[in-house]
Amino acid sequence: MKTGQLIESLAQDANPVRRHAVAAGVATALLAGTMLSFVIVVALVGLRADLVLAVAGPSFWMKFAYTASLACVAASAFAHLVRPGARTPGLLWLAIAPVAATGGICVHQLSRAVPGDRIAQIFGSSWSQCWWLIALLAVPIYAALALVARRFAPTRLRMAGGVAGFTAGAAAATVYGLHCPETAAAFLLIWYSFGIATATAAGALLGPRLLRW
Amino acid sequence: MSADDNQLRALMVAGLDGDKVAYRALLSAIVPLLKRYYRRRVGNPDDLEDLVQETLIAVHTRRATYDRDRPFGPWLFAVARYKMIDHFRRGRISVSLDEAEGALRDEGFEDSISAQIDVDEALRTLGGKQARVIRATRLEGLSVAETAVREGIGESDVKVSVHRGLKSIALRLRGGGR
Repeated sequence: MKTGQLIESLAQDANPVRRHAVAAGVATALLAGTMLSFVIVVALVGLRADLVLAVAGPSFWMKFAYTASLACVAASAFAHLVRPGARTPGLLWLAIAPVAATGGICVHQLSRAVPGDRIAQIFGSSWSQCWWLIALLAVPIYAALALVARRFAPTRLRMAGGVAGFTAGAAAATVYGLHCPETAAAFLLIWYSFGIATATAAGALLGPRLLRW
Repeated sequence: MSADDNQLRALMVAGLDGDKVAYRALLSAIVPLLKRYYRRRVGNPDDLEDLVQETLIAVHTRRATYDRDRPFGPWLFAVARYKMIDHFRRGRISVSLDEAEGALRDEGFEDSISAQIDVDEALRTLGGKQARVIRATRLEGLSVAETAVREGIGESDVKVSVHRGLKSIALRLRGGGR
């Protein structure tokens, strides 16, 4: 086919594109993946029995604020990275804020506890399943983000994959908070973060393979 | 380039809003830009037409990723570069050695590309000194000074040998179309 003919047929196909198409696409994918994760949590491990009571307390919202703010920062960075030629998004540095805040609460809680309680704060009762459940719950969210990335045009595949993993992990951790009974900031900072980090690493590893367009 | 970029940008934005005439003008305008971009980087001139068409299609299907508040040129050439690397990765074209190096460094493409260029094979066909200094400077990460010390030759000798050796490899790659 001659280039002129190609241009003609492409021009005929030029339907209008929404101004915020990328943001809308990423948000929709994130929402759809998170809803799927939610269904899996309910089906697999169930919501915490004291959920209604828990939402009245501060530790639930500390966990929510930590994971949800990380998810928002990561999702925004991901929306940058699905465009060609994107550089490392500076806004990723914002992720330091929730980590620092939670770290502050963690130090405060640990300092006020007797040594025996400190171990309980750090390990809780579910540390060994928390981190990989979060990574598992991140899978459908990552899949949704990967599908939307392939409709767009990331050119830095490992970084886009890593940030997608980060987004998926943080969103999955938010959903996981509906099941998890732990309340200590130390537990949150260590094991939730470890789950998110696992999802990030896996996402980066798979990026070059899965995000190609 | 800035004034031209504003023109292209205006055409692209109009196209994004559904103006087919402006969009056609944009696509026609970028053809010579893409040809010039590829001519300097791609070994075989027969590949040019294919690459230009592939990139036009990519520009069209991924046009939602263009940020209207940013310049058009960098976006266009980011797409062009990605398509070029992708074709190279799949063995469809050969590129200049500089681009190959860039593609090797580029995230995520290292594994598939190093399979394409059989570095050991290429170095084996070179003379002893050229192969040794290229291996030292490019593969082992030694500096020119360190290589000169190791080989017992002057630094300018190292540089000339690397240059001549790479040139031979480039000619061989281009000719073989591997």
